[in-house]
Amino acid sequence: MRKDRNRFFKDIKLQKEPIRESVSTEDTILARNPILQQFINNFSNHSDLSVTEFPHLTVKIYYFSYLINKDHYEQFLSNIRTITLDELPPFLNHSEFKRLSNFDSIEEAILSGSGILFTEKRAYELPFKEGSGRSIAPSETETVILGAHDSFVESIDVNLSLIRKRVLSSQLKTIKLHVGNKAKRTVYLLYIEGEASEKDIEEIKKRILSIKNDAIVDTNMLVQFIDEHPNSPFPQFYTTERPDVIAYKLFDGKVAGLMDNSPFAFCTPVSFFDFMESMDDFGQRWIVSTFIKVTRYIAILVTLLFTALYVAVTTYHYEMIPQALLPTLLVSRSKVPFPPVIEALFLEFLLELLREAGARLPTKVGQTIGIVGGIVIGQAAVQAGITSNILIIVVAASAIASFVVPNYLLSTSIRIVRFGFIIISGFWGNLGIIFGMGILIIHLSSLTNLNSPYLLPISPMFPKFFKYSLIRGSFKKKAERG
Amino acid sequence: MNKFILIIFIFLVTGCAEQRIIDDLALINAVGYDLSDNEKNPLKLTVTFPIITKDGKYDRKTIMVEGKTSKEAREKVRFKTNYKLESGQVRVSLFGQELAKEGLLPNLHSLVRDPSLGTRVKLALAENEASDILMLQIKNEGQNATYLEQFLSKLNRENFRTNYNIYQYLRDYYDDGIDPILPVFKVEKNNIAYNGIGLFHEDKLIEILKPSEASYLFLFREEMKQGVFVEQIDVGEEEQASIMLNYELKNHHIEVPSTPNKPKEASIYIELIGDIVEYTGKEDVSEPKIQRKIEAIITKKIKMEGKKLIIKLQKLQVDPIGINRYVRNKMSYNQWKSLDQYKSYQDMNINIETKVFINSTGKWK
Repeated sequence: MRKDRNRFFKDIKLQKEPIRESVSTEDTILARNPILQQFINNFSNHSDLSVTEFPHLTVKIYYFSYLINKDHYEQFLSNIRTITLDELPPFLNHSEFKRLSNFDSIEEAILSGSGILFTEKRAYELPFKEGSGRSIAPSETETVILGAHDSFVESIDVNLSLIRKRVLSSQLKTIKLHVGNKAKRTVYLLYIEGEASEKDIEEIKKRILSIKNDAIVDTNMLVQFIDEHPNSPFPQFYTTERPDVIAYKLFDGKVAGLMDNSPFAFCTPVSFFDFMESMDDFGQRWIVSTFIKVTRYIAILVTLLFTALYVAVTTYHYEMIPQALLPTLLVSRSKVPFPPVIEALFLEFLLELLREAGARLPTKVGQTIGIVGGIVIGQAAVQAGITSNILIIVVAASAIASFVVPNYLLSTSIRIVRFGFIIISGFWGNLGIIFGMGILIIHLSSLTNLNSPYLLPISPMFPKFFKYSLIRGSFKKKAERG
Repeated sequence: MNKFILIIFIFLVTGCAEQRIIDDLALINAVGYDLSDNEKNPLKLTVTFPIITKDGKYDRKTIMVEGKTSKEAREKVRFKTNYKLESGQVRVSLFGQELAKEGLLPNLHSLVRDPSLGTRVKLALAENEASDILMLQIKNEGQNATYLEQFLSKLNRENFRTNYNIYQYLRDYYDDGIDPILPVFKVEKNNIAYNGIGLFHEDKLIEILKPSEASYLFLFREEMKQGVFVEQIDVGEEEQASIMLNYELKNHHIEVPSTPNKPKEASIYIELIGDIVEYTGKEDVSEPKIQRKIEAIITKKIKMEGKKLIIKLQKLQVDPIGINRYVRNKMSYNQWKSLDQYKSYQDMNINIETKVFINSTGKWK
C-alpha cells in the first residue's frame, strides 16, 4: 500500500519536472539567460506548461497549450523552422513580437495566453492568444426594447472594442491597472479626456491599486472593494452589461472600468438617479419617458411602503380605511389567526423564497415553481386562512413594483429595505413608517460615490439638472443649450 | 456597537403603540342618542357596528343601553360585546327629536372631544327615536350607517344641501348670524326615508319643516347652486298645471340697507335659469309668449310661498337663511352686541325679489 503511494508520488514528481530535465540535457547556454532561470524557478511545478525547443537556433518556447490558439502556433512553427540562426534576430525584430525585459511581464504574458520565446539573452512574447470566447449576445439582466442589443462578454479585448466602436475619438483614454498581489487581474479605466475630472481618475486609480485581495472574480465584486460605504445596502457603483450605457456615461464625463473575464463594466461617479435609468428612456419620446420615469419613482414607493402601510393600517390606524373597503378587509382578515405583521412578513418571505428559487433554477423547472407558487400563495393560503385576500394583492403589487426598477442591484436592495419598513410599521404604525422614511433619506443623502453625493441633483440641490436626471428633458432643448 | 445598542433601546424602552388589529374591533359606524323615560339614566345610546358571522358573512350588531351620559353609556356598551369598542369609523350620528329639543350641544361636545373622530361625521335627526332607525333591519340593505351616510351624501349631491357634518353644524352654531339646520329621517314602511329639515334655535330643535317647505328654504340659502322646482301653479282661471323645472341658481344675494339703529328691512335677490322638464298644462310651452307667462307665474309663486315661509321662520325666531349675518356686516361691533338680534329679526320686513328665466323646454317641441 505504502509502496504504491510512493510510486504514485514518484510518478507525479517525474511528470512535474519536464522543464528541469530538458534544461539539464540542453547545453548550458540557455541557462545563462537570467530571466529564463527566474522563469523556470517560478514555474517549477507546472506540469501543464509546454515547451518546444529549437536547438539549432538556441531558442526555447514556453506556453500553456490550452490557452493558445493552435492555428497561430502552427503558423509560427512553420515560419521559424525555415529560418537559420543568422536570420533569427531580424525575424524577432518583427513588430508582432514584443520584447519582454522583466519577469513580471513574462508572467502576465504567458498566463494571458501568449507564448514566450527565450533566446540566449532575451525573452519575446509570441502572440498566440486565443481570441474566441462567448460570442456577443443580448444582455439578460438589462433588456431594452429600443436600443442596441449587444452586451459585454468575458473577453476584455472584445469589451474594449465594443466601447471603442461607440466612442470614435482619440480623446478616449485607457489606463491599464493590475489588481491583487499574486493573481494579477487586469482592469482598464476608460475616460474621455476633457470630460472626466482628473481628480476622479486619480482617486479611482489609487483605490484600485490599493486592493490587496486576490480572489476578485467579477466587476460587481471589485466595486465593493473600492466603494466608500461598504455597510450600506445600496449599490454605489453603477455596473452594467451594456456598452451603449458605458459610452453614454463616458460622454457624460464619467470614468468607466472594465475587468478581464467579467461581462460587467462599472462606472463612476454616479448618483441614485442613474440607477433609475434605462437605455429605453433615450429611445422614447421625452414625454413618454418622463412618464415612465415618474412611474418608476412611484414603483419604488409602492415597493417600500405598500405592505408596511397595510400592516400599519390594519394594526393601528383603522380610521384610515375607507368605508367601502371595510367589509372586504374585515371579512378577509377575520379568518387569519396571526397579527398583520406576522401575516405580512410570512407572505413577503414566501415571495422572496419563490423569487430566489426561480432565479437559480433552470427555465423548465422555473415554470413549475411559478405555477406552484401562484396556486399555493394565491389560492390555498387564503382558503386555508393563513393570509387575507387584500394582503395578497398588496404583496403582489409591491413585488411587481420592485421589478419595475430597471437596475437589478437597486431593486434587490429596495426589497431588503422593505422588510425593515414592515417590521417598524408593526411596532409603531404610521409613525414608524415616517421614522423609517426619515432614516432612509438621511442614509441615502449621507452616501457618496467617489466623493460625489448619492442624491446629487436633489441634495445638494441643482434644479438645473432635474431635467436630465429626475425626468428626461427634450434633446432638442439640450442641444440648443449646449 | 453604540448604534446597535441605541437601536435596541429605541425598540425596548419605548415599547409599542397600543395594537388595534381591525378584526378584534367593534368599529362603531353609527350612534344614536335619545331621551329615555328612565329617570336615573336619562340618555339612551344606540350603537351599531359590523361583525363577521361564523360563516364569514358581513353582518351588523346593534346594541342599545341607557346611561347618565354618553360616555357612561358607552362604558355599558363595552360590557355587551366581545370586541374592543372603537369609534374611529363613526360616519353618522343620529339624534332623537325629544333629545334635540333639549339641545344637542352636550352630546356634540363629547363627540368632538374624542380624537379618533373627525369633524366630518354627518349629523341627522330622527323624527321619533334615533334607536328606531338604527335598530331597523332592512332586508338586503346591510349596514344602516352606510345606508344613512350614502343617503345624506346623495341628498347633498342632489338638490338639498343637507350635508351637515359636525364642522358645519358647529360653524353655524357659533356664528351668531345664522342658525344650524339638520335633515330629518323617519322609519316608514320598513324603510328609512327623508322627511324634511329640522330648524334650530341655537342648539335646540324648534320645528321640523316639511320637504316641500324645505325646498323653498334651500332656494334662499346661498350654498344652493342647482335644484328641481316642482309645484302646482295656477294657469288661467280655476285651472291648475303641474310644472317641473330643473334650475340653476344664477345669482343670489341678500341686501340689508344701512340704517343707524335697528334694521327695518332686508331683501333676498335670487335669479333662476331653468329647463322645463314637465308641464301638464294645455298651452304649448315652446312658444316664447307662454314661456314669459309661466315665468311670471313661477316668480309670483316663489314670492308668495317664500314670504309665507319667511314669516313662519320669523315667528319661530330661527334664522337658517343667515339674514342676521348681513345685518351684522352693516354695523359696528358694539351696536351689534347691544342689538337684540332675534327681536329685530322678528320685526324685520323681508322682501323676496325673484327672476326666473326659462332656458329651454326640453327635447320635444
